[in-house]
Amino acid sequence: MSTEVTTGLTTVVAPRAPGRRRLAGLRRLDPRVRRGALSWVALLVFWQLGATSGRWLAEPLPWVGRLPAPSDVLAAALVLVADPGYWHSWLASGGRVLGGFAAAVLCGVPFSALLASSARFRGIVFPVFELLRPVPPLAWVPAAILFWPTQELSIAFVIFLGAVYPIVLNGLGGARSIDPRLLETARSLGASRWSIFRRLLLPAVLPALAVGMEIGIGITWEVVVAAEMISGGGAAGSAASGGGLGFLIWSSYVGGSYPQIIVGMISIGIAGYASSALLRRIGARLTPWRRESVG
Amino acid sequence: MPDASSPEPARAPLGLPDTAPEWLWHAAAWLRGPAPYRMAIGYALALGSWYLTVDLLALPRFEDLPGVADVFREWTSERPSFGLSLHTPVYYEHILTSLRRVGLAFALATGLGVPVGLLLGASPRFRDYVFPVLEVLRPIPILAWVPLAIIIFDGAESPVVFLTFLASFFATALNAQLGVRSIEPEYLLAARCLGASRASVFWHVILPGALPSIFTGLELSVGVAWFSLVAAEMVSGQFGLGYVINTSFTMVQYPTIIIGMLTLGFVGHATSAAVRLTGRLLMGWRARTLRLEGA
Amino acid sequence: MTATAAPARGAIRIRDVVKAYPGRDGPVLAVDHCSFDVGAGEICAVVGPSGCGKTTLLAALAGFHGIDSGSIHVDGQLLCGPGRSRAEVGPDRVVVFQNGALFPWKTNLENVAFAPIVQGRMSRRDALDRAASLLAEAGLRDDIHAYPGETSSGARRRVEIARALMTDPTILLLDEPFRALDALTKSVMHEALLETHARRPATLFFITHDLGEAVFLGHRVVVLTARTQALLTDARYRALVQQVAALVHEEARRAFEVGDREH
Repeated sequence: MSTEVTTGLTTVVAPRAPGRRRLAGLRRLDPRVRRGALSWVALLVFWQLGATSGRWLAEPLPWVGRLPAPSDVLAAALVLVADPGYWHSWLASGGRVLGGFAAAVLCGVPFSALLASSARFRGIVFPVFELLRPVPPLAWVPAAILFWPTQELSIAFVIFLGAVYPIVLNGLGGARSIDPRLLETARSLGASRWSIFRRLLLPAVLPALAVGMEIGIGITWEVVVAAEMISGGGAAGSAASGGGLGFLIWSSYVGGSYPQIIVGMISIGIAGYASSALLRRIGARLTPWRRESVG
Repeated sequence: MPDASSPEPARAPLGLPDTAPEWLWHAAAWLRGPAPYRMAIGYALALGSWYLTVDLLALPRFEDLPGVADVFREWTSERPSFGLSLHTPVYYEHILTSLRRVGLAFALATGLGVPVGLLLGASPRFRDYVFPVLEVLRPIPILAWVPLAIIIFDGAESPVVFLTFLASFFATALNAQLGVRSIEPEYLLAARCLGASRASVFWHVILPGALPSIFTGLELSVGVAWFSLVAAEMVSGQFGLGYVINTSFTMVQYPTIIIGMLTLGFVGHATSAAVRLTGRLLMGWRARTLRLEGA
Repeated sequence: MTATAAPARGAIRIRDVVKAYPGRDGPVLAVDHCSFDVGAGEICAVVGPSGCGKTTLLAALAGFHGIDSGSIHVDGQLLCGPGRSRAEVGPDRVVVFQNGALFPWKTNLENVAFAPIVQGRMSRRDALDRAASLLAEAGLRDDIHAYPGETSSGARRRVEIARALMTDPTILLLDEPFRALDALTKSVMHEALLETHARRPATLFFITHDLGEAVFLGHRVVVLTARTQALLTDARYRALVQQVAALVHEEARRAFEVGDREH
């Protein structure tokens, strides 16, 4: 058996930086971005043609034919943006979202910590928690209205119910996914309970909590919109409780100004996206070790 | 820590014969543990505090709420004062209506969402075209679509099913995509090394590899479907559990609200369990692997 | 050793290969003007510390990524090099991965039968029959219908190697295949690999960080490092390694006979 030996070096050499190439390429749009833009352009064209199909076809197209045209939506948007009432709606909805979500986080995080740390507590409380989970938050609206003195509080309560579940479940999942060996190592090294909590449990649970909160804020927006629509619609009382974007949509529908509906939808979409993005930022700040590792 | 030396747990101490089926052994072990008793305590506490605050003490905020006795009596009576109980056929009509809508929407969402999600994960080109459209539409809360849905679709059923479908579709597609992207790249490389064409890789690796995530998505999708369905039924529907809750409220039939909510809880659990069970059947290999790891 | 009728194939010529990866502080040179040959049908062990570029070489051979300069030829044909910086991934060069890549959702039997079925070379029934006999031959009859998740790690490696060899690849690329195994199992694996190679002499390109393993198994040992290793050319060292390996192997054989299988 022969044995051949070869040597190689592992030095670092400074050559063409891969980053340089991108600057030159900015001239032409990345083909991936181009494709996405193409899809949207095609969609908008189809939408415009379909929505106005009543004018140049014998019969308007089904479904698409009933939509308000993008051109009308744009016009309505320009009008709305100048209207201070529109921005008040943003504040109203945003305030509700903030209030309910904050309550969900403030109650949910400690609750989830308790569930994770005590098996006894978990055994007693979790089954009831789980039993009520499939009941959609909106189903709680009537009960909430019966209970809470003001409409705002009942909306906040329903938001709380909706958002608290993903937060608690994700926090619990994160806590239980901690490798027990890490816990044992920490204890054998003499760490105090507080120390273990701060340096081991919290960092392990935070990423899962962040995800839970992102899910929660999505649910929060759903509930706010629904509550605002319902309160405008009728079931939860006739007094319009300070508007909001959901109320804007509903009243636009009732009032027959259909292009405004879509403006409202887009507004809520933007608001929802912005709040999720904000949460994601905060989550990334709190968990810097989760940045993509190189190689 | 899983014990590596004895893969077969001892059965003798539980007093069961060795030939007893697996699930019976699990059930017996569960009964012997603290879990069932803690669960019973939890339910007792929940019911007890409800009874205490509403029926017995009639505390200020709580006095308007329906009490345990009222609800129980109403639910089980042969001649319910508000027309809805376990003995009335209309109760089951409402349940079936809701189930039917959820079933249809879920089927459509799965049939469309799984292929779309798989393609989003597997084909960068498809993703470039389709993802930008989906990502812009996704932040819009489902309920914000209600007026538009009513405008586009005729009748009372279609908008409800459409809204439910929309919510489920996003959940399913996104999870299917996640499933594809979470497949260990080694499996894909190995398949190509072994001479698999792109189609073979899709059928033999991507689809089975994404299946666990797909089923997680389906469970989520069912939950989201109920959420949207109830909201849609509350706003614009005839028949169905959401409708029941809504009209019971407006017609001051409060115990029926609770009946509706609890029924929703049970039915929701049942549908989630059905999805989970189907998953376990289709992915037999998972159960066998996890069991070995001492789970 | 069984004589094969087919001519020996799978001779590799690696010449002046350079491969750099983009790193956080600029590119990192993984392979710097590496050149060596592997004879057809040989077992070539590539040793070196972590991050010395051995996996990079394997990946380049498999076609998972390209090379920046230099060339690789297999049996005189250009695999990658000037004009074609990246090889095609193909069934003539199969990889056995470090952490195992048996499809968890297929049984061991279905895994082994995978290649001929997807390549269209055999019908499903024939492929399964052939796979069954292959597994039985390798002493894995009990694990035929089990899932990889239920199979012991040693058996899993052997199933994966069987899967790789089903369609007679020219070159078998093994990326630290026995790294996660304990010493006893490793020893049995070595025997199994040598036996398999005797039956089907493909070229084995074998990466490991275990020097003893490399010397024991390899017809040729290639060391990638920054300093020359004079130790390996010492005949006394080689003799010692083989002596120790034989002793460990005796222990392993005894342990397995007692029926002490770890799952």
